Amino acid sequence: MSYFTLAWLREGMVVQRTVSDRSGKVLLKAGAILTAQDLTRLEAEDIKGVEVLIADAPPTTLPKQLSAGPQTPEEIEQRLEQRFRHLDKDHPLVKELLRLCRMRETLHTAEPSQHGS
Amino acid sequence: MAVSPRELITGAIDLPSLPEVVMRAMELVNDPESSAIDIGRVLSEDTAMTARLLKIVNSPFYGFPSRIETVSRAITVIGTLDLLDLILATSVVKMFSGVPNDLVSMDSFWKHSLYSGVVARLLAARSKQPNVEHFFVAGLLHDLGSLVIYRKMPELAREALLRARYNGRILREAEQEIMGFDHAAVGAELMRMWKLPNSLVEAIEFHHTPSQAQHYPLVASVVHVADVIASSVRSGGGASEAAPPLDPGAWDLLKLPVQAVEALLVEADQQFGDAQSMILG
Repeated sequence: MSYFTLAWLREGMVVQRTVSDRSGKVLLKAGAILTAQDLTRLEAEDIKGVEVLIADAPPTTLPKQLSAGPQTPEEIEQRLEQRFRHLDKDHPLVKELLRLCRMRETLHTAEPSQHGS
Repeated sequence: MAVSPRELITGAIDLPSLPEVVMRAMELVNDPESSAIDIGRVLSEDTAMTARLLKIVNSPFYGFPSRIETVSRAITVIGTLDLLDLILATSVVKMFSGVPNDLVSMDSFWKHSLYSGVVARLLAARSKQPNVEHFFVAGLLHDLGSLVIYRKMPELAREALLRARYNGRILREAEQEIMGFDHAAVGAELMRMWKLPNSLVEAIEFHHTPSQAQHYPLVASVVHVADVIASSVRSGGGASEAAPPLDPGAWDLLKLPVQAVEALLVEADQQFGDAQSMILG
């Protein structure tokens, strides 16, 4: 869990501690995924920052990963695209790694991942 | 005010020192007049170290047919250099396992490090390199500088992580923009402070830029490729969720066919479980 000031909050981050205004009215519940509207509202309410989850994966994809449930081929491709975004996909080693990762991700979708990360 | 990696290492918050027995054993390795018996004697002085060492050599990771009961026997079977590298690995992990931070999951950090170490060891073995445990340690410790940064500059580290995770930046470039140096430079400085071999210093300093390694390009290249492989196949292991860019020259230096990677990963997965209980357990 990490405290982020407003400037560093992004859409898709997962709220870890419920945020209330000065009167105690709840603005965001723990577990909520931040939207653009939430960010505007937090600014309007002069909220300085929010405790959010820093996970090992982008919060936008975290709930699905935590659930370890089946994933569609499109979701697997999206994850791999994210993971391989700095790699040259024309390099023979990268091509091979991508092929093996597709295979492993598909297998892990069938059986929950042992890596748990 | 700008801070250098050296100032970060020697700064106000104390970082752990290597156990004295490890430092003495490392010195003996570099002493031409010392023997394996001398090194065994030094290691045996530390009973906790002896117990850890025997646990390692008797673990399924090695799978020796009969139980090894003494340090001198372990030295005979595994070799002095490899044994010292393993001692170094367990000592450093033990020292840093208690370093708290709220920026990354320590479990994921060490799993990525360990998987990188296992892959580095297998790459070295397939490239017919002697002293494969040296590659294992270099892979295991390649990101150690990140832990120093998380501890000493948590706010700046958070900014760098955010830029890497949400703005699509390469982590080391984000660190350089924000701090003026990256985790590789800090890790190398720590290795220097601990007076560890130059090959380890270079492997860590250049694990993202192995072509810049002047004296030990092969160790740096193996660790670089291992890091890329580990980050690719194990989602979310490293500090950034994206694998770092590959230096094609590093892969070429290994002279391995890409077809070898599939079998290597199968073996890495098998060894990872054993290595986990050996090093992290």
